[in-house]
Amino acid sequence: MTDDMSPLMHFFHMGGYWPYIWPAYGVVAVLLIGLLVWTLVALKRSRLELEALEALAPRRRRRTETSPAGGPDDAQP
Amino acid sequence: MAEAMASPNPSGGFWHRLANPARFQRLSAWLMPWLVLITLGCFGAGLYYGLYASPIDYQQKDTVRIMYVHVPAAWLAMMSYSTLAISGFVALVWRHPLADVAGAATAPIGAVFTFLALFTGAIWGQPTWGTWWVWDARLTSVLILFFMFLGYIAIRNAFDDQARAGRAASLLAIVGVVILPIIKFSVDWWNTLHQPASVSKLSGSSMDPAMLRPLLIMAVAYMALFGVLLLLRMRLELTRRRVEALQMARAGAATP
Repeated sequence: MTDDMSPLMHFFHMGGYWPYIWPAYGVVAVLLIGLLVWTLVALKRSRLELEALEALAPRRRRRTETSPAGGPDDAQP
Repeated sequence: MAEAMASPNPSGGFWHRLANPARFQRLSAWLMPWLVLITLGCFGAGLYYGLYASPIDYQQKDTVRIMYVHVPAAWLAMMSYSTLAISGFVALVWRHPLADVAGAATAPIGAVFTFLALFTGAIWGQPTWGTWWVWDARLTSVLILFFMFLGYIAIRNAFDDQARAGRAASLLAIVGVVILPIIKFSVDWWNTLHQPASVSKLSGSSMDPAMLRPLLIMAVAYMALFGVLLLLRMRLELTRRRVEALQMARAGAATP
């Protein structure tokens, strides 16, 4: 730490330990944000897949929405 | 009916209950904004205090700031494993489908927190102990914890039958719970470079309040983020299982 450093440089310098402190915080940020993004992308993808499947087989929904008293015959093609 | 006709596996009721987890979705939707708010607020405050508005250690100088990301990661690693073991127990004993979902959702989160504890610990070890790694009790037992999370994930993926995979993984999680006291007391039972407990002691914390504050704020931030991730991954797991059930139903309908 030298006196001619700007306050910002002084902050990033971390008393000379910047090569340890910033990578530690960086890895935490990258992995935690990465896990969050990965989860959100997978969730979105899997919801789209579910919607596509439900659109292919609308019987299940229609039966409960329009004919709740529908017998077993409804499902037969 | 399509459902009865389309479920060749005997656990049709299992899927049926999962297909409509309305109560979980309601609770999760109510909790989510609060958890996100706590996560953002506590990370903001924790980083401010941790990186800037806290004193340096008289021995460790600025490297003490690594503690604020390292120690909560280690706590969360153990909390994740407790969640894994408890959900495994509930899933095995009461056959609660949501517990099985919670276990599957927790494992990757636990693996990430354990990895972070190991990695930030290595970075902290170099300037303070003069080494990245030692094969001592604390470090080795946490490394084993990391492999247990990976093993749990591997077992879940090793079976085609979801229910069998869940039972095997739950069993591993329950048996493996012995690792938690070993990690906790490793610093007392064996000689180690790792320092003993300083926050949760019977005699009260021995840490300066100026350092305890960022540490606890970061711990709350990690816990809230764990909650956010757990709820999201449970939703993901539930959606995946419904997709799988529908695919099986279609396969069953195609070949009567």
